[in-house]
Amino acid sequence: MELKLRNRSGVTVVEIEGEVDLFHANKLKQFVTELFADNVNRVILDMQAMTYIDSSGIGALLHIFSEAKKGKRHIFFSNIHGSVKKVIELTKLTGYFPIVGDIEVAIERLASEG
Amino acid sequence: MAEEAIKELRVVPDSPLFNTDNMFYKKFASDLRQIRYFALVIVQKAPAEIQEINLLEQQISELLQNAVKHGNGMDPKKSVEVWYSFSPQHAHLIVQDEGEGFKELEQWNEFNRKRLACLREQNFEELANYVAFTTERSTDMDGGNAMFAATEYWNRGLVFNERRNGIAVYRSFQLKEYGRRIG
Repeated sequence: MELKLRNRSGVTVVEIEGEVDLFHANKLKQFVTELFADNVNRVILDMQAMTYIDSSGIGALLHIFSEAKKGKRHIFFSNIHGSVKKVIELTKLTGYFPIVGDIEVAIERLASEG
Repeated sequence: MAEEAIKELRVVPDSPLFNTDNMFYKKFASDLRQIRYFALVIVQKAPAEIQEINLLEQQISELLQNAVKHGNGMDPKKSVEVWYSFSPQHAHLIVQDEGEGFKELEQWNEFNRKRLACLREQNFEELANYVAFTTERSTDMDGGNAMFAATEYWNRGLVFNERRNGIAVYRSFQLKEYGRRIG
């Protein structure tokens, strides 16, 4: 798994590439938690290049979303597709997670949320 | 088996799903680092016609992870046995570890009932308390959600043996449609 950090219209985008499995889930969790600790309050996790997720990866997303809510931070998950989307559907978290179609939609939503 | 009946975990030692006749067999060491490889070894026997083979591999990997982590406690002296068979219409696996068995099964069912109630009511505030099932043995690596997905994915059966250290699962697949007959 590789994590790339980008700035899009003043919003921090974390591009997640590859497999988020039991060996990489903690790295994702720590990476985003550190962003929050650095007062980054508007984050998009982009999953366009994510190819695999398992229960540990889902656990990492749950942790990140929970931390964001606790700190009243704004976060969206974008470009979820393929087997990653299926796993989220199987766990019935599609309505729970802040999922949007793509980065542009996420940026619009973040702009409207202030 | 009706789909509604398998949304909870059940102990059914005499289930036909535990019949290993005509199934492939592998025995793996409790090596967490090799779980993904073991899952790939098993899924190699699955025919290309099976839809979403990556998802199948992921679900098999979860069963093996549970057996190694929660069943065998990652004890390298303990093994995981797997029986498996595939066709374009089905995937059938039995995974057995050498552990004490899933003692929290009833607790998991109760937790899952509350989770499903939150989902039915679209109560996402309350759902936050039911997104991960953890026990005192859970670690940072545990997502606590694998069995939620498993009860959905294995659409024709998910049962435990008497000791609860063996699980049998079955999924049926719809055949891909390549065309429609005319006339």
